[in-house]
Amino acid sequence: MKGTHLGEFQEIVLLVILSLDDNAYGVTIKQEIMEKVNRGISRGALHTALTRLEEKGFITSEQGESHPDRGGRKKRYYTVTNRGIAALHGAKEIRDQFWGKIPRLKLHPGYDS
Amino acid sequence: MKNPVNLPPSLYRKLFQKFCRKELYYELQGDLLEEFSLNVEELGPTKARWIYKKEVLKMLRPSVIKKFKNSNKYYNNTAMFRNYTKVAFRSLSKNKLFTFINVTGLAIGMSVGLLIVNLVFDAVQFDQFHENKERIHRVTSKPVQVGFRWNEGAAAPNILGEKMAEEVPGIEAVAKIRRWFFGNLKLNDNSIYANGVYADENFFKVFSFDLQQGNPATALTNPFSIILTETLAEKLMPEENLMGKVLSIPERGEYLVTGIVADPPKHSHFKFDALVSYSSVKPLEEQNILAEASTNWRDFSAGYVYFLLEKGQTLDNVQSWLNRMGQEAYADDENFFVNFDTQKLTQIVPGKNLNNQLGTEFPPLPLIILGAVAMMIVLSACFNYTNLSIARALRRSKEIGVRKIVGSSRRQIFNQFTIETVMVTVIAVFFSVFIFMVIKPLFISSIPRIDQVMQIENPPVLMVYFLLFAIFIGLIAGVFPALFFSKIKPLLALRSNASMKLFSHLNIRKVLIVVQFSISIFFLIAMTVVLKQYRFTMAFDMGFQQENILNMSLFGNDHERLINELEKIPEISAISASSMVVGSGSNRTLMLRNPVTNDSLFTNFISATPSYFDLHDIDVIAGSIYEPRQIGDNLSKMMVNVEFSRFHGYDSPQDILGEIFYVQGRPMTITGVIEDFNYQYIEEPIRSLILMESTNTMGFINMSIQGGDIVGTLEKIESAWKAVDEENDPSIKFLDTQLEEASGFLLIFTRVFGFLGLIAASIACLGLLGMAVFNAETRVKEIGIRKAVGASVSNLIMVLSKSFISLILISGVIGAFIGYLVLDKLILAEIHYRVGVGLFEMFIAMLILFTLAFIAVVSQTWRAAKRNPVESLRYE
Repeated sequence: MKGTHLGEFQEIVLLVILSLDDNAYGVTIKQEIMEKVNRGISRGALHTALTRLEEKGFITSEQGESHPDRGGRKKRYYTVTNRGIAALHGAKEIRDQFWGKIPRLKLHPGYDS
Repeated sequence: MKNPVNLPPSLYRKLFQKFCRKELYYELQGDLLEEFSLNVEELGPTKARWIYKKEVLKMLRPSVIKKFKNSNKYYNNTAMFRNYTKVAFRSLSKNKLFTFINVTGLAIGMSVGLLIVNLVFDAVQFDQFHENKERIHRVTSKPVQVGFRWNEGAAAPNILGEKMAEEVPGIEAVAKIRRWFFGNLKLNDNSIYANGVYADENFFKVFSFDLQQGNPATALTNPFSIILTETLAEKLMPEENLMGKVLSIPERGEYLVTGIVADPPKHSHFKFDALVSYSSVKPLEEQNILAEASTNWRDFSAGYVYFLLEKGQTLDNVQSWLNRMGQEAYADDENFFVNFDTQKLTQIVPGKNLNNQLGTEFPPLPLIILGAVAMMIVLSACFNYTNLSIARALRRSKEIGVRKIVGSSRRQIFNQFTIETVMVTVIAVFFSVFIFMVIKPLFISSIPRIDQVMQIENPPVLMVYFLLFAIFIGLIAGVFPALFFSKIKPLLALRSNASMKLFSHLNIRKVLIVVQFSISIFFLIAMTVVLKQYRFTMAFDMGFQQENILNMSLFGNDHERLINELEKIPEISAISASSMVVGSGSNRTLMLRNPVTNDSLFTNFISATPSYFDLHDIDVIAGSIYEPRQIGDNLSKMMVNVEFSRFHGYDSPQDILGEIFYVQGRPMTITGVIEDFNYQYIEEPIRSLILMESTNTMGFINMSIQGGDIVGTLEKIESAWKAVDEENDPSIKFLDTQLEEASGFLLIFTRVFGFLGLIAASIACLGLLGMAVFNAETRVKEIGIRKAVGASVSNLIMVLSKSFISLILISGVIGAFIGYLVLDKLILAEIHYRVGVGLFEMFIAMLILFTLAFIAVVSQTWRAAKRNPVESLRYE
């Protein structure tokens, strides 16, 4: 279904925003993704993701305070909406469903943990 | 490194700003910069800058970069512009009559507008040359007295200035000025008459007049120092340095030249030939050469107080101190106090209407009225343009239809027509500058004292303002037609019978015509009514002899010596000296105390020798005229008018004879009562008046002359004058001419109203002519059919003119109504002896305009009606 589909990167962004609680803005989100997910992303790519999420109504944003480090420009804080949380739950359920169907993890020969 | 360490590469920063969408830029650039500064700490500047560049380049994605809509419009701009101009030129040259009407109307209207632009341009430049203009203020005073109405004045007691300098914190300097310095400056055999002011040592601290020689701090410190302007010094003794020379001024002593100052700029609100040190005032007052005003808290006409605030100080301190002083200094009189106020230097001209101005005065009201009137006329010309353009919509609608179908946007059509209008106005402004050049000298010479404000030269920068004005007018005139044209629907426009539907804007056009004609009628009524008032004033019996009386200014000479000389001339039958020209309104007031009620109040006063009354044929009703004063006599007798005795509660003028009133504290016995006569302007009712022979206030010699040889008599008077005063030329005027001049403002009103009326009427008629032409042209077929069916020419003219005639009738009623209200209730209400606004004046005004309008309409409809129907119907 178009409009509510949650892409993989978008899902990560949503989770990061939730985990950052009320300190989620461009720079922190990007750092969190780079550190925790170990994935190099550009701010531009993050912007695209955030725009999509906002269009789908999964997040909202509001202007915050400015800082000299930012050349006096204001931050934009992002928060996940209820719809966003529902979408996250939906995605998790789908995964859990499948995880539940797998009786036990079979390790292929040659796999060493 | 080119950039400072803590800043990202500026090229990329700017690049990002260029392509990033405006609404995102703040957030994204902020994030990038914050990240950059974190990276500088963690990874070092080089790496951080590299990351920044990468990040910026990765921002090049559709969701971030600006949208470029309709980008082809940008590339095509110049070509389209050329096309618009070309089409505009073609359509203008194709419709020569309409172009002529538009350009003429706009040019005439704008020339009036330019006059006002020029006036405003000059007025706002006043006193801008003072370095500290933002911090310079002056004290104004409004005395409040029970039972007497005062106006706020620009003067303030000098003693207040002295106290102010001592008591009020936050003031850098107080400059006291005392006006009315005048006299003949003599050096060796040379002599010249000079006007100026007494100014204290702070003068150059407060004002930025350019002292070319001398020390600004000390030049005005010592008594009897004088500073001359360059021009005056040059006139007095050409090509010689006058510094350190001693000048003598008759009856005022000797003065040392301590400075030479550049002439005060044209845009200074007060001007002078010479400055005399303020410390000279005291000795002069002690010798009774000047009236005692410098220590007098009740002087509201001679002294001025200007002060310079310290930087960063507000007026609050000063104002509260002034409020206190206004009560405290007058505590001895419970019926009297003064409201002191402050006025910023740059708000003096143009500024409030105050009494006793030191120099140029230019109240904003005339500026507002003139501005409003000029705006009405300019708008009227704009209406014409709007009207005619929309009327022509019929012809241009096909062009617009085609343009739109080919792909023009609404905005492009709008631009096209705006460009066309601006072109017309720019052409018109060239003509209007010509008209302006012609009418400006007339304007300046016909309005007295406007030359103080308006300069005859036209600085080049003014032309820039003119062009801006023209473009502004073009936009006003063009916006409505441009909107209208751009709204035209292409399909409707291309359908052949669409023309009628385009006519839904007819009502607006009718309203515009009514407005134009109402304005014209108003001006024409104003002209006739004011002319009537002028005639009335001229014929008004003011209660004294006006014919064959000559008045000669004294210029500070002793009147008795002059009278002795003049008495030798046989043609002069009577001579008197007086302080004012009777009936010209420039009277003085003195403080008078009623001994019975003990009320003090200011009363009008004329100084006159006893022969004054006979000479002017003023009847003595009771008592007798005071005796001529002999040398050594104290001033103790005065005459009053009937109004005076009535005002002070005496039933009969007889009763007041012998009563003693106190004038400026001096007891004065009333010896006689004269009939009431209009010693002031005719605008004023006759008020209480006292007359006495006060020798040091004489300003004029009055002579009654006989015999036919006026030229010979004048020559004799001149030689008598030369015997007393060799340096100056005498100024001799006939009293009746002076009275005419005093009422001259009415003539000026007549001229101005007449001029404006003519302009408004001609613009309105041009517009009407255009509409009539258009109307006749669009109804060619209707006329043809009517004629073929059997209508006569007069019938057709009736049909075609009917709507116009009714419009003009409506505007006649509106204009007459407004004219009555404004003239009768506003302008004439200021005048005490006045005429009313009658039906006759309104009738005259309407007749003039109706005739003009009728000619415009009928000439066009007649042409259409005469046309052979075969020709008009054969078409197609």
